[in-house]
Amino acid sequence: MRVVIADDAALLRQGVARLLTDLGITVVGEADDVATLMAVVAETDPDVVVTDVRMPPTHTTEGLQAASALRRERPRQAVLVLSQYAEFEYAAQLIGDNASGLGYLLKERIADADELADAIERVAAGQTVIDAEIVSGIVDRSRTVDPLAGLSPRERDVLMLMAEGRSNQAIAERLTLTPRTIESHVRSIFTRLELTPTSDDHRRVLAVLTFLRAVDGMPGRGW
Amino acid sequence: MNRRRWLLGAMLAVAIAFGLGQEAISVHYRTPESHLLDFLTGLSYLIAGAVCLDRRPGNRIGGLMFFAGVAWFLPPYSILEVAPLTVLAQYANVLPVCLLAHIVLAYPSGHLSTRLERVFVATMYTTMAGLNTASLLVFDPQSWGCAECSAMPAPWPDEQAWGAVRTTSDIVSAVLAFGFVVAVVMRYRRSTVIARRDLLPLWVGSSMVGLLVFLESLTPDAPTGFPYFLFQIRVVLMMVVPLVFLYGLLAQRTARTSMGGLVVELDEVPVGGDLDALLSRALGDPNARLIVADSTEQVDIRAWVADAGLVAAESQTLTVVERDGRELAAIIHERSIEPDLVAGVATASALAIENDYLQRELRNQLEEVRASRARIVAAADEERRRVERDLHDGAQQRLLTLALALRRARMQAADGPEPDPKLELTLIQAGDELKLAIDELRELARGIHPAILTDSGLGTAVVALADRTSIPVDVQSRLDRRPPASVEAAAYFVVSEALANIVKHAEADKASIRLSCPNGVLEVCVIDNGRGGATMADGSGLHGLLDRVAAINGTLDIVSEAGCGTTVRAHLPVTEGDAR
Repeated sequence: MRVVIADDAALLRQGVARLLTDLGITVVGEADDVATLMAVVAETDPDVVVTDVRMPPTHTTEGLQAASALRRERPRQAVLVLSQYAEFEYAAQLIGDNASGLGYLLKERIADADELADAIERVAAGQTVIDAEIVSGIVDRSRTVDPLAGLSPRERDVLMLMAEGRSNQAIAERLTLTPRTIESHVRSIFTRLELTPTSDDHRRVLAVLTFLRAVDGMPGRGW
Repeated sequence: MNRRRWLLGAMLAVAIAFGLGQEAISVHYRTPESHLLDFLTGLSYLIAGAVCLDRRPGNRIGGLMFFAGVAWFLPPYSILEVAPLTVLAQYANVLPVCLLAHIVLAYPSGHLSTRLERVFVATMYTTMAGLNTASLLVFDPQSWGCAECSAMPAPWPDEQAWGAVRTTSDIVSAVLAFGFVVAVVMRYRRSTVIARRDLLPLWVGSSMVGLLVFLESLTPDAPTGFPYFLFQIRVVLMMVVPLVFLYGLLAQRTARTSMGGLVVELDEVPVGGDLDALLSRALGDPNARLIVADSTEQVDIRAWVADAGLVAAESQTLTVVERDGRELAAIIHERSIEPDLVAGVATASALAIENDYLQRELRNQLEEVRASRARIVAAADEERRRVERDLHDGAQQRLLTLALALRRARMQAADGPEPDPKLELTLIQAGDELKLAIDELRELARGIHPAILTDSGLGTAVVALADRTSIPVDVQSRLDRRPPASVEAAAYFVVSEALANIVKHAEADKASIRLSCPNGVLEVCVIDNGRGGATMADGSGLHGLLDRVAAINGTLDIVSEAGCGTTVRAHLPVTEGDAR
């Protein structure tokens, strides 16, 4: 696995690089701003780009813009954005309508090696990663009319893992259930929420997230 | 009543007694009508003089008039045949007419305004004094065989000489009377419209007196018939003239009343409004103008007005409007207007102008304060953004670096040559604590100034706020463009505070937020279905936001009847140029 890391805090970037190296992931390049990142990616052709969300010049959401710029040039480029913001809106902005190979993870997950490595592997495999905290925020959101009220607790768990971008296999492992059971839960969820069934994991994420967003309280893309 | 008035009153009483005394002395010589006419004429001078002395102490006309009254009453005292009185009576015979001419020419200022007038008055007094002296020297009717005539011995009695003196006196009187009429006509022609209007009755009356004196001088002396008739008319006129003066004084009082009107009207004139019309009305001068100095700085307004050539006519003059020694303005007006009235109008104008200055100053200060408050809030917002950035880029990055280091330490503890499970457990606990710290720091930074507000706008940030609220919150955002940062921040914190209050106090089970921007005003409504009764009490978070909202000229109100939920509403003007 070949990875490029972008973060303007050198110490942290080096720390992440060492961590990834420890995990057996090859760090082929580092960048401290968007322009350098674009150049390094073009040069090294990595499997995954791991970028901080805050970078110069404004230190707000440059990582998101870098991701979309990268995807315009390299539509299949896997990008994992590490973010200080637990904002669903940012995750939604990142994945847009092509969720495959994109991930939005809270930056503090770097302290949890397994989680980081897992996320990198999943985006490298074309899956979608959305931080569990953000998904739980949107699923747990209070609604005037809660369409999720009809789901069983188990189905809710499955829905959240689907929204994080996990495959049936991964969900089964996480919940220590058989893949067949998960499949039946997924079917049931899709039926209850009146969603079009799809087996493609990243399409499924989009469907679920779109559904969650569309419920009341979330405006369109208006200001 | 002050001492001066007491004195005037005493003077008047004495003079009237003096008048009554001469009437008593001359009771055998005159008819009752003659007495009445005589007394009233003298009285009218005395009263007009006293009133004038009282109202306008600085003006010599009052004194002249009073003196004329006393002189009027003096001649009959010659009957007493006391030498000094007889001498004085001789002079007093013609004195009232001379004084009247002097007064008319000096009215209203009390000063003779042209050299010609001064020469005329001086000539009048000296020739009259000379002729009367000559008369005293030669006039001795008893020595000419007139038994009833007063026994006033003359040094050189000479009937022929006296005849010559009389003839000269008649000719001089005729010339002077004619000269006086000419002088009055010249004054009339020289005068302005308002002066003509005000002084016309006086001039007509006094001119007629002059003409009558002229005619009297040309007709032979006689106690009856045409000359006596003329004399009677003259006396009536001479009685009326002081009344005309008095009317002038009373008219001044009316002018003061009109000044009262001016003060009332000034109150109704908008700040910076046109005062000229009011001024014209109060002064009775259609051409009156008020020239206000542009600044509150000390200026030499006389020089300034002179430089600008604003005093157009010869008949106009300038009165400086002062307040506390500062020259505020100048009133350009006709010279003939009563100084008292001008002074009153000047004072009223000074008040109005000063009021205008104060209001303008107040408005400027208010504007300054408003701008400064807006700057303070903007600076505070900027500071919040800076703190948020610093937290993310400083503390949070360091904590993350620390988390990485802890993780490495943990791996070393677990996987090293000598695994240390206890150390590993401690490091795991430290890592968990650290994770909590990072979470809290993230929320803290978000509370200080959410990044999502800055880069995604109010609607999205409010939705994110709603997401974090423990009751369902419906958000409807109808904004088609982003308001300025200061407005967005104010709106965001209003929503944030309102939602926090709802969760803490309202016992509501749902809430809704409406964002709209009709007519350039961002309207923010946060409505809940809780127990109501909320107030913007001092110390509540919303009260704290009042200042922030006011700083951008917005309003914040709260409607919260008990049992009917609470509506918090903010109206925040969006300046067109500032919208993003």
